[in-house]
Amino acid sequence: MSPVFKPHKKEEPPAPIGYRYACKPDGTNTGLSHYILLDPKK
Amino acid sequence: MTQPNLQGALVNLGPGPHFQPIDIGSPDYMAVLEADSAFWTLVPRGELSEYLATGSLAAAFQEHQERFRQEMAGLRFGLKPSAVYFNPTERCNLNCTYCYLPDDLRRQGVDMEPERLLAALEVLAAYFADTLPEGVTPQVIFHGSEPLMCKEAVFAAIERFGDRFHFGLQTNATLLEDADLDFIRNRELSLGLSLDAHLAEVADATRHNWQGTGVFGKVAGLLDRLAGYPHYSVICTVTSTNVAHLPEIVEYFHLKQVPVAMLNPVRCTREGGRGLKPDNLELARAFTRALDRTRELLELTGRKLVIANFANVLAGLVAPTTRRLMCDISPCGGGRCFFAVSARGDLFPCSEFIGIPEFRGGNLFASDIPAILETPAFTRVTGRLVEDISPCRQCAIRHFCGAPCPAEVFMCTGTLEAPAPYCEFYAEQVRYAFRLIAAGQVDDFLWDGWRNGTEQTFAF
Repeated sequence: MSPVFKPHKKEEPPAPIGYRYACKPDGTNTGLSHYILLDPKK
Repeated sequence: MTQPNLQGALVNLGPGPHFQPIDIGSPDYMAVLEADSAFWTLVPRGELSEYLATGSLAAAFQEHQERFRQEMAGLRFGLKPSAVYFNPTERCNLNCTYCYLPDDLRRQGVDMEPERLLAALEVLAAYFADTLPEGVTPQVIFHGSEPLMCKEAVFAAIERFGDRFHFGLQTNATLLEDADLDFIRNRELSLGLSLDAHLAEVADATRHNWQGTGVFGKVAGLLDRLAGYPHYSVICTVTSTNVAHLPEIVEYFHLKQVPVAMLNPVRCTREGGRGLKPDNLELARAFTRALDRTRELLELTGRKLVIANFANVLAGLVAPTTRRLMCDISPCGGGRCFFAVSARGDLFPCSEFIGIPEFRGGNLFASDIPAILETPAFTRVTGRLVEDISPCRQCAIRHFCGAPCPAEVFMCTGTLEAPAPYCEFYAEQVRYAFRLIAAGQVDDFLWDGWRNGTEQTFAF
């Protein structure tokens, strides 16, 4: 089925935006590589 | 008329979530934050009251709040030291106007003897072997004063301990020779240089040797030789001297293929820095113009210049646990995620505290590290909370800012419990970050692969 074209109405408010990510507990991304050490090294 | 919310908890009442709306400077969006859990959502400006009143946002928040609070508690109170800023010498060949270390130390200080440096790394390796989980390699960053004043000892230590630490080197770059660059490249060491401008007349005004001669030419030449090396960054210390030039400075760094830069506002820890502090709002304007310019350059060339200190603020919003720097959270990382070792073997919560005697916790060769970390010199810093500082305790962005830096706050006010000298600048950074989120441009400002090893924990 082809998508239905929905014209943008100027008065239509934008959608809310909210999201969040977290490091997985498997340790592949520990954060905390300090200062000049930006590489996500384990 | 909107139906009253009689089922869920009411916003800002009793046990209901305490939401704070903030103006992010967008024509379309306001941000709504629950500060304790670093929760945020952008809602259409015209519908703010609807989102607060009808309970949909509160319900979405309450479903996840326990996880968010645990996440923040872990980030703020559950981490162990995993990095050391190691000062192998007190001396420096430069006399930058704003240095946070005392003049007499840099002019006449001591070096750590090479054997003692190796012994210190043995002590640190044993400490981390006891405290870090298996498979996690601690980090040692040789830091200043100028670590290359005792280059042979530093390189010998890296050679000896290369399989036990990830090493980094933060240097003024004036003593780096071709053979040193080969050593750094061959071992893929992380390298940080300092360069404050794109023009000698601006850069040399603050970064010069003891005779007053600037070092722009030497450092700028190095950027060409480092082009294509992925593991280096440039710190540009932002002062009243160079603040107006920030957009041109990032253009210059981008031209030179610098992969990562920091535009760090000068710390007001000593009088030299205080005298060069840029006005907060002038700084915010120039800083965001520079960020805009990095995005334009990305679009033009396909090559990204990450401004790491801003990327960290942005990461604090979208993925708090992926932060790389721990200055903009309370307690800061000093003494709990990392600590500093001086050339005498003394431990301080952070390099910024070296030169402030009351924050010396003890000596690496005389006391156990865990005992030093429990001394008041450390616990005063590791126990410094935004909740104890006015007006921070009421601020919606208190966990994206952290009221840094305790060393400069202490030296400016005589107490640790005072807000950041750059308070308004932090607020503007967070507002700008929210506007980027609204525009869907987050990936343009974070390091490539920032989502690797993460999972999405919330979507509204």
